[in-house]
Order: sequence, then C-alpha cells, then structure tokens
Amino acid sequence: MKIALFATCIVDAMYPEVAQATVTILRRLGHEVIFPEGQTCCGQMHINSGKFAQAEPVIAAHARAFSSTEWDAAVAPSASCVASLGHQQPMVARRMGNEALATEAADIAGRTYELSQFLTDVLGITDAATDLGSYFPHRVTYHPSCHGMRLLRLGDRQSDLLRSVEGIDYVELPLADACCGFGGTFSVKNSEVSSAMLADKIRTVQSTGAEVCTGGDASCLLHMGGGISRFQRTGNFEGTPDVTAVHVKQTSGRVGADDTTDGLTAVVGADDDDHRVPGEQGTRPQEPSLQQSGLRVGQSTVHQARILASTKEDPLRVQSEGATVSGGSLR
Amino acid sequence: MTDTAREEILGRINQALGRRGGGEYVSSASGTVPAASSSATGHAGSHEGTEENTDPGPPAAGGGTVNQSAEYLRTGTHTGEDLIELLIDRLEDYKANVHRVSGDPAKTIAGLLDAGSNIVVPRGLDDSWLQSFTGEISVDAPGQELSILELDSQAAVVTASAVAIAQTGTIVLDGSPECGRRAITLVPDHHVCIVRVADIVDIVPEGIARLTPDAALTFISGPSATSDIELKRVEGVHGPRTLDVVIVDT
Amino acid sequence: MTFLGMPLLRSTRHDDQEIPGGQGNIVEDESFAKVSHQHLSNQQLRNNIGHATATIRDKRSEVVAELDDWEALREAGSRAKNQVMENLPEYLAQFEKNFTAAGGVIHWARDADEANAIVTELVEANAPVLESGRREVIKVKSMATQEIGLNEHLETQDIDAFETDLAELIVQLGDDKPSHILVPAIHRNRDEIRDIFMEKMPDAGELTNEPAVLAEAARRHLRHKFLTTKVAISGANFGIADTGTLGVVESEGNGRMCLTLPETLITVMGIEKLLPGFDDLEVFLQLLPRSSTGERMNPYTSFWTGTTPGDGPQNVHLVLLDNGRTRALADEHGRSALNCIRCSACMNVCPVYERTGGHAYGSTYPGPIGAILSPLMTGVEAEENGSLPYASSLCGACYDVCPVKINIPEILVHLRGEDVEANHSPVSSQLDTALTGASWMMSDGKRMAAAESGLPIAHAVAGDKQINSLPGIAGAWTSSRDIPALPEKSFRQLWAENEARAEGEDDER
Repeated sequence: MKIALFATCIVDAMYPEVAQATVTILRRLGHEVIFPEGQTCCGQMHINSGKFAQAEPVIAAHARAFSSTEWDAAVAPSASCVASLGHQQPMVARRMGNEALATEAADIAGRTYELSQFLTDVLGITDAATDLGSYFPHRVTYHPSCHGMRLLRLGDRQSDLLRSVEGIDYVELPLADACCGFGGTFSVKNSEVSSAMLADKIRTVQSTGAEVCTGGDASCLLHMGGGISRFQRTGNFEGTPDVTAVHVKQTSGRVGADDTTDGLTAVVGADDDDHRVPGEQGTRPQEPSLQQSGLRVGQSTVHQARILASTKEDPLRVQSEGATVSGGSLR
Repeated sequence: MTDTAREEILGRINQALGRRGGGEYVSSASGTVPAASSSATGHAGSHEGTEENTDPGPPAAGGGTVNQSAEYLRTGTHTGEDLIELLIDRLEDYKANVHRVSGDPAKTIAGLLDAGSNIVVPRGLDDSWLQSFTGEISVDAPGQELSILELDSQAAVVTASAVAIAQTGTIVLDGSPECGRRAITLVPDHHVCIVRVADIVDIVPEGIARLTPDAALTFISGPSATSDIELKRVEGVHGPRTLDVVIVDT
Repeated sequence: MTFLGMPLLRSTRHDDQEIPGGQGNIVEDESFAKVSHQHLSNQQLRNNIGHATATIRDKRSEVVAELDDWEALREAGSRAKNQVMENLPEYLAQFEKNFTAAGGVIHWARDADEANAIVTELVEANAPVLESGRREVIKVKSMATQEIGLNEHLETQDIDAFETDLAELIVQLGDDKPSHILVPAIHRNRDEIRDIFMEKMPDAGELTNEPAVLAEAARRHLRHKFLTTKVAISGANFGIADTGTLGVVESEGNGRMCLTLPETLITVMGIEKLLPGFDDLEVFLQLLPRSSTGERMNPYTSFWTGTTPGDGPQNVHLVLLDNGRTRALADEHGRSALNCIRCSACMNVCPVYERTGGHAYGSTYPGPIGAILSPLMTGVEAEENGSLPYASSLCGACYDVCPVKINIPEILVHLRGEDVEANHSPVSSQLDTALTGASWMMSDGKRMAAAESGLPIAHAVAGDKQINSLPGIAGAWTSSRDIPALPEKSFRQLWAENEARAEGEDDER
C-alpha cells in the first residue's frame, strides 16, 4: 500500500521522532510511505479559536498537499488532527462559502486514518509483539485523548495495541477519560482552569507509578509532559490554583490481582469519612509525597508510535536507562 | 398588552425561522396545527422508513458519523411471573414496601394500617378491600371533599392505581374514582396503593400508551425522596414517607 | 460583513431588524477567566463539587447502561425537539388552543420584565395580604423564574416567595445563588447545610449533618406553608402540544404540594419546552430521569391539563416566556441548544464545571449548556457572555451524555466564530497576532518549511535546554508547564535529507 504520512504540525516541528517512528512501523509492515511536501496543519488551532477566515487557507493548503499525490490511504499519529479533518474542515469551508473546498476536504478526511485506527481496522494488526516486533519492558500508563475517544471512537484500539507489546507492564490510569486540560488555545485563554485540570491529571499519572505515560496525541502529551516536568522540578503545582478534589490515597489491600507494587489509588471528591464533625474546620487533603506517589524515578510522556516502533534490536530507552527527558517529554 | 406580546413573539419566531412576511404565523382561532397524531417520536412506522438500522461498526476514517441508531423499544420482553418480579424488584429498590396477594387482599391491607386509626379513601375504591379494617374510614367524593387540614389528620390513604410500569417501578394514578383526586394521596403520610396484575406493563412506552391526560396524572416511583444533599438519595421529604404497594392477582 | 472580501455564509440572520436578546440572570458580570479564578482556589467548593459530580456520573452511567435502546431514545428525543423548533408557531398555537379549552389561561411575555409584571399582577389578584402587610407564594424549583429574577422582583412588590425544593431552600436560606440546574446547592456539603439550617430555622432545634435529619427539618419547616398558602408558582418540564398538558418532574413531593393544594397555580415556561404529542413522553420520561438524577424514574411526576374539576387549583395560568429564546432560534447553527431539557448531565461530566462550579458562569444556566445557551439568548454582543464559549477544552464529554444530542462542542466553536466576528477587542491580542502569523505560515508548506529551517539556529542558541519560562501570552502556558527543548531539525527537514541521501545512493549504484 502507498501511504501518505500526515505528520501534523506539532509532530513535524516539535516531535520529529514520532513521525519517524510512524514511518518505521509502516515500512516494517511492508508499505511504501510518502510525505506530501506541501502539508502544514489541519487548521484546528484557528478553527477552535473561532478564526474561520484564517483557517480556510490552512485547510486549502492541506487539500492541495493531499489531493495532488497518488496514495491509497493517509495516516497521522494524532487522533485530534484526523478528527478535525472530518468534523471541522468541511464545516468551516462551507461556512466560508467554499463548497468545492468542503467537498475536497471531506474526501481527503474519508481516506485519512489515525495510526492505531489504520493498524487495527485497515491492516488487521492485533498483536504488536508478533506483528510489529514491539518490545518495551517498562511500566507504562496510557491517557486516551478526548478526540480519540469521543470523535474517532477509537475505543480500546490504542490500549489493546499497547497491552500486546512484549515486556510491557501496563497500568490503568485512574480517571483516564478525564481531559488533561490542553484544549488548544484554551490552555492560555483559560490558563488557570486548564492548569487545574492538568494538575489533577498528573496526580493520577503519578498514582500509577509508571515511568512513562503514553497516548496517541502529541499535543496532550506535550501538555502533560510539561506539567510533569514542572512538578518534578519544583515539587508542587506552581502557577496552578493548587487545590484538588482528586485524592491519591493509600489503599489497604491490592488494587488488582497482579498489582502489588503500590497501594495508591485516585478518587474524586471526599469520602464519607472525610466529613468533619460539626464545629471542626475543614482540612485540606494531603498531597502524596514524591516517594509515596511512585515517583522513585522520573516520569515522562512519550507518543505510543515510539513504543510500537521499539524492538529488542533497537529499543526505545527511558530516563532510567540514560535517555534524555526534556520538558517532560522523552527524547 | 399580552395580545401584543403574543403577536410579537410569534412574529419573532417566524423571523427566526426565516419565514418571510409578518403575520404568517397561524392563529389559534383559525389556523391549522400539525396533524393531531403527529407525535414526533412517532408510533407505527411514521419515520422508520428512512432510518437504516445500521450497526455502528468500526469508526469511519476521518471520524465519519456514527450512531446511526436503531428504533427504540416500544414493548418489553418480560411477561407473567418475570414481569411481576421485575416490578417488585424495582419498587423495593426505591424503598417502597411490596406485598403480594393472590385473591382477597383485605387482610393484607388491614395489616398495613394501624387498627383503630383513621384513613381516607376515594369514592370508587372496592369496598371489599377494606372489610378487615377496623378503624375510621372517610370517603372523599365530589361535593364531600375532605379539607386539607382534615387530610393532614388522616393516618393513611388507600387507593387503587391505573398502571404500573415494571422496568422503572412506577405507579400511575389517573384521577379515576378508585384513584381519587390528587390531594388525598399527597397529604397523608402513608399511602397504601393497590396494583392489579392486569395493570402491570413492562416498559415506559407501554405505560404511556394506556394513559390519557384528560384528568391530572401522577407518576409515583417509590416514596418521596431527595438527592439534594451531596447527591445522596434520602427517602421521605414532603410526600407520603411510607409507600406500601399491594400487588393483587385477581 | 465580509472576511477578506469573502461573504461569510450567515443563514443565521434572516432579519431586517435584530431579534432582541434576553435579560435577567443570563449575563456574566465579568469574563469567565476572571470569575473562575476565585472558585478554583476554593478547596471546600472543589471537594463538594468533585464528590457530587463523581457520584452522579456513576449513577447515570449505571442506569443508562441498563437500556439497550439508549442511543435510539436519544435520537428520538433529538428528532422530537428539532421538529418542535422547526414548527414552533404551529405547536404553540396548538398548545394554546388545548390548554385554554381545558380552562387554563395563557399569558405571553416578551422578556423578563414583562413576565415578572404578569406574575405580580396575578399574585396580587389571588393571594391575600397577611397581617405583616405582605403576600406569600410557594414555589417549585424553576429555571425560568430563576432566569427572570422573579423572586427578587416579587420581593420589591411586597410578595415573599418561598422556595420549597430542598436545594433551593438551602440556597435561599443561605442567601446564596444556585450553582447547578438540578442540585442548586451542589457547592454546599452536609456540614454547611446543617449550619445554614441551624441559623435560619429558629424552630429546627439541634441538628446533625445526616442528610435524612436535614430533609426532615425541611419537611417540618415547610409543612404549614404547603397546607395554607393560596398561590403557587411553578415551572414546567414539558408542555404537550396535542393535549395542552403541562408536566413537572420532581422528587420530594414539594412539586405535588404546590401543584395540587393552592387555589391558584401560575406556571412560567419557556416557549421552547413543548413536545409535539403526549406519546412523546414515552421517550422523554426515559431520557430525563436517567440523565438527570441517575434514577430509572424520579419519585414524582405530575401532569395537568388546564383545570381538572374537583381536583387541584381551579385558577390555572401559564406565562409563555420568550426572553431571548427567539434570538437563539434565529441562529441556525446554535438553534438546537433550545432542545435542552435541563437534565444537567453535561455539567456533571464537564471537567471545567467540576473545577469552577456553576457560579463562574454568571448565569442561571451554568456548565457546557450555559456556555452556549446564555450567549445565544443574549447574543455574543453582550460582551462578557462572549467569554463563555471559550470556557471549554472541547473534550466532548457533554455531547456524549446529552439526552437530546445537542452538539455542544460544535456550537461552542460556532459561537467563538461569532465572537471573533463581533470583534470585541479592536486591538489585536498577542494571541490574535500569533494566530494570524500562523495562518499565513500554515497556508503554504514552503512557508512552514522556511519557518522550520530556523530550528537549527534556535536549537544552537537554546541548546538542549527545555523552556521553563516565556514572556507575554506564552507565559500563560509556562505558568504551569515546561516546554521541551526544540529539536534540531523538523521532520520535514529530516525527510528531505533522507530522500536526498537515498537518491544519491541510487545514483551511485
């Protein structure tokens, strides 16, 4: 199959290694990969900021880049960008009175897949270890992106692939379906709310004791990595109204049958036993210490394409093995 | 004043819907209205024709639309004993007390009421149901209504019911002579409600199909309750705090 | 108005003259980002709301999972409400005819002021002046009367309105504002509620913080009012066009008390609350309770059609309220927000609401639905409401749970576009400037490649150091998040180099 890679702007400029991993996986499966050179961005940043007029030429650039080349399917390592192609681009083009662009955008969207969607639905990959040689012997937790879950309906596609990686110690992320707070320009326009969501997300990531938090969207991972880095650097959620209803609690007994390494679990809100008796003042929940929260090693985020691309021969190294972590992202 | 308001609001709606020209709205006096049976959710295939029952299946590339849904259910699958057991389960789940009787329920009903207490009943209630009760019975009837304060002094009310919906544990009172007017089942703190097996349906659409809103309707699912404090359900606020349901096989 | 000489398709306005927006408690005083600041750092609030929304989320998913046909019910609910909106004049006329024929009286109110005046007049005509020189009415929880500020207005007319819903009572006694559609006192926990009751119910005696004890205190407090007050005011969940029936869905029995015992009943209902037919209840009585309280069915639902001889109030009035609803209806892309049945499922799943609470939205309608409904009713021109559509990370959880399938994220984005067009800040913000630059760059792959060709230089300057602090608008990002060091080369550059190398290897062969 001839596959057009849609790298997405953030991966192209910030995480070239994620696009390289995507190419590696597709080539390993015997496919030809091309990179349409005119590509830039899906336009979501402008669309979600209400700047439809500025989004239109970006959408047009995407259409030019992907209509001019012969390919069987386009693949992107991002659920959010793929969702924007189908859910937003035609709508915006139509609102700008550009029906021809709307049709073209819808056509391209119909042939563009998120990576895990392409691997499972189109190529029928069910076992990453067997089919891709994926090997990653580390404790990993996984954050499903909102747009992957709710716009593309990826379901378990990403997590199933991860679970089937050889050697992986996969830990469920508590409250996994909660948004990390990125939301594009939301993260700066409503920075404090976004940071509060991020802080709660990081508390849950910490509670897993995983060395790496992965996912299928570089934007969420950039955001979460940035927050993890800040917490590890400063020991608190600096710059955030540091208040939470997410409590990482020491639990007695095992969480899961195989899970004896930590007795921490995250819950939202106060339990019944947290109620004060009349007259007593309310108390703030205790933050778990770095030690308690499983942060014996540094945590970082990494795109799942790189975990799937990792093999015994050419393994992806983590921080404890000397790899560089920058801004919370594994390099 | 309000006539002007009426004209103006209807004019705004027409403008909002892009219907050009003033006064295009339909006046209540002369106008046509949507066909009387045009319930939008529709019965009897009013729209099924165009909706394919497609399996959502795997998501389309580029996030194509999902949720091409099938039609919702209009009849349930429970019958006979299963149906009755479902109703009992759901009633008890919402803290109603359920009593099952085959044949004459008089003794059971009397057992739920304090001997010698005073109760109110609607005029159409089956007399035989109260033959074992030894207290004072006030019959509420048109022209002989109990005052609110008199109702407040009754220990209990005993009524029949129009429909019971098993799936949701819901009993409907329809203002018929054996259900009575609304106040009698509201003010007393204890409601004994008789449900005939023949009046039990499985799911909500089957219940609605048996009702018309000619008189006021009251749907009751368990005793009065609130979840206003920390979303915790607490039974017993302003309505009757005890609900006894007697299911009668006749 | 045109953008870059391109006519923007705006079928949203068919008017020669703008439809007036609504008034009352649907306008933010300050922007969302400013107001949310104080709420975010309130530990008690965060705990209370976090706990309550988590509880209700779980209950909702359990009862929704019980129904195999849930998605079909949502679809049917959406269809019914769309049909109402598309044919609203006809359905209103049909409803009016049937309700009136059954002995009810209908009043039309263009806005909050007019509705308040109508209700005041009706109360003055039907409620006696008490020894105190004031009149009294009892009220069932109603969003419409919150929206128009009815209680505050009645207060100025020497009329005391007693809220009878437990949560509304907590809010009223606590001199507070509702923060949630379903559970107005969701921001209070049992300890705070106990304190309010102890202070404001002189005859309550010593109370514990047990919810059952607090509910019992409310029962005793209100019992006499229910049995003696002559006039009640309610809202309505549904108005049924083909029968002229009104319905109220509730739990405590305070609704039944108000709807049944007084002599006069005044209902205030938005014009969008209609359902086509009585049969449609078979869908909505499944959608609403499960979405709202997470119950298979709420304890009590009452339906009345005008007056019922010998049963309940014989003097029955309905105020049909516009107050900006027609303005929302005029927005073709936002119209479906009027489909809302006020279940509150969207706020229970919203990560923003969960952290800011309802007061941050400055409107009777908080959460995701409020973030679209308030600006739709006032117009984004009401400047501070223009900030509401940005109060979302667009995670989409609200759309997933909406029982009538209102695509809230899409309408949020649409309203952001309206806000941009309304052009609130003539001086471009740094973010605007950055986005304008990004649009130019991203409109052409070559320009983007050129921009990325600066990466080696940037990398040489900044080295492998991550970025922990940036000035200006980017500082909003680095207030809580670090940024990875920039890569030495973009993927585009790496790809081009590899291609060139591969071709070179081919040539050598």
